[in-house]
Amino acid sequence: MPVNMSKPVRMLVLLLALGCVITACTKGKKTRIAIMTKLEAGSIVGSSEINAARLFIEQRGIKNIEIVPVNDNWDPEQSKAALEDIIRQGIQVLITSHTSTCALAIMDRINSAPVFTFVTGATTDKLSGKDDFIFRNVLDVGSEQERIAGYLNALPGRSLLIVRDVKNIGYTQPALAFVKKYLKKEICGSLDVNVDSLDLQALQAQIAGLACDEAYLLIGGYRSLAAGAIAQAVKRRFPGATIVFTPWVKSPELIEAAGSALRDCVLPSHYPPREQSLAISRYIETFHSRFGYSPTFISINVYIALGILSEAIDAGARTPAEIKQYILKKKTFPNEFVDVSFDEYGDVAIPLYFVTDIAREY
Amino acid sequence: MRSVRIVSALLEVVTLVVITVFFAVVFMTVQNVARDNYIRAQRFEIDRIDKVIETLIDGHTQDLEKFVRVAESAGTIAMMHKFSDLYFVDNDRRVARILVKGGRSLIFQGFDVRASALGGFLDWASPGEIVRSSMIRAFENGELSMYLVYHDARGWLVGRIGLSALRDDLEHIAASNGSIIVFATNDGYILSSTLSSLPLQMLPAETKGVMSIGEEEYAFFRKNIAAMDNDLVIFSPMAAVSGLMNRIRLIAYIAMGTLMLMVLLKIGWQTVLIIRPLANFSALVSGWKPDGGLPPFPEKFYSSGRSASSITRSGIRRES
Repeated sequence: MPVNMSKPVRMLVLLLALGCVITACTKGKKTRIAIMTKLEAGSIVGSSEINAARLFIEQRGIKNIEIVPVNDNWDPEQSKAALEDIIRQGIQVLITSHTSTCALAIMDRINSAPVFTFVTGATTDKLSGKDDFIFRNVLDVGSEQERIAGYLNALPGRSLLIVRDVKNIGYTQPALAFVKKYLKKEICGSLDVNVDSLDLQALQAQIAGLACDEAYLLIGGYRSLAAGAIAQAVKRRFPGATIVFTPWVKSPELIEAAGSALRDCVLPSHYPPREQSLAISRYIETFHSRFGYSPTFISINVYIALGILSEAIDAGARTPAEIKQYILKKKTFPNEFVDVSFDEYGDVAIPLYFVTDIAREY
Repeated sequence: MRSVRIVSALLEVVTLVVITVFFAVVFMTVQNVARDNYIRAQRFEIDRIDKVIETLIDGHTQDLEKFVRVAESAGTIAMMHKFSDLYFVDNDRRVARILVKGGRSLIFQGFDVRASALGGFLDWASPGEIVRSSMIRAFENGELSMYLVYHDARGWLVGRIGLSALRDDLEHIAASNGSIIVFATNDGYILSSTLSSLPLQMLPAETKGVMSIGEEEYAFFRKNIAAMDNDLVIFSPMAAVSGLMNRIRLIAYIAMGTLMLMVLLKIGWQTVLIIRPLANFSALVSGWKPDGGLPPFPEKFYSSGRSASSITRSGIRRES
């Protein structure tokens, strides 16, 4: 039986049908998220992050996100080229894991494009307190060093030796300024080294004339072999010293290189010690059984960042502005590892844990 | 006549199907043979690299054997500069004395090697013999390396062979034909690759086959290299084989298309020039009666432009 509809009703039905078609088309389209990292064969850094993203997609059954791995080798010049490539491809969402020096190299271009960027490894304060498209789920260098200084202040010794790497100056320069600001201890020596051309004999000669109770090795960028070897050298000179690292050398290589000095070392970590966190333990075991090797801890940052972005995309946010608006509006994102709360500039306030039994982390 | 048409068309279709199947079988056989031959060709390349590695390791082993047999002097130490690092480790597993130290090596006298992969490997060395490790990432500088270890009562003499130079050489070999050469542990974990951005961390379980890396297909062949107790894999681009197969496929498609066209033309020709006239003639003949004379002659049997009466006039006379 023919149904007679008035003109307004016909228009309404037509609009509804059009709306359904548009919604169906939009729903079917995947949001491409680039992960910019160090994709070097044989290195677990980049592959851990890409596989963390893969694990996230598999575990959650995500259908509306496509991961695009991009290699920048954690080199500032390559970061610039990689970002241009991402922009050329029309990708508007990015997760990075590189160092502060790389982050600074692409900061302006990210905001002019714009590309919504989740920083999971760079702590530089040059990204802090800015109303821009760069968010991060790690502490900024000021907050990080304040917490580390607090730990160093609580150690029984009176004087502190600081050994700083100048290779990743984008991180270590502000870090040194902040730790000095918050430190309530005498600095018995502040030495600069370049981890790419480390002369441990020269370092040993330099510290031979010092008298220090504790040591802080301000080295990041996963230069864990160098950090471990320096820890050994410092330990030989100051056998009773506690040696504190930064969170950015947490890898199995640190254990290999630090030898027996590791017993008196402390490693700040973004996550609770593995034995205290079921979620961390489960993540590492699941990752290992799925991909055949243990991941880096920074890959958990990528996993969490992807969770937040996925939630924003599910809520209909597609463009950098929409994603930014969604995250700033919701502010707190609970997850199985650690709750992440953003301030109005996309910076986070999260705890820093101090791991004393480092060998048990791996 | 309809059944003749159907049978004829069916026969043509069956012929076409048989030829198509034949083409497909031939194509797949050629493709498999070409692919297998290509993969097998990689074996020769791997054998060649195996020989190079064996020569390299054997050379270092012989040098170390000679070194432990003669009295140590500046001259004998100078002969050992092929090693990236050469040092004594005492029974506390600390570096006791350094004989050769590589440019970026982090070791120093008193360095504790206990927690490193080398520390564990020292247990495998029996007194008086030289043992070689598999390929590991050295704690000295992160370089992919092999260790030669000689054990005696005082501890261990450790020689490290850095493999960066070998990797660089292999990179040149690989670059010349677009291949990727990969070192991996026996259980497939990738240690090093001539393509630094290889998006793989674990090898497939198979020892040979074809797989996609990025957007390109590669044939791979994997072999255990006894000299280093690790696996070596060569990935070679399938582009050359694919190009050949694409050409063969194109020729097959053209041949099939031509054949199909010819069959269609043949069916059309048969229908128009043979079957349909025969059918009409048959219908006409079946209308004849012995006592009824000729049936009405259909128009279509006349030539164009000539009327029935003119035909009648020219010789065919209807009986009334």
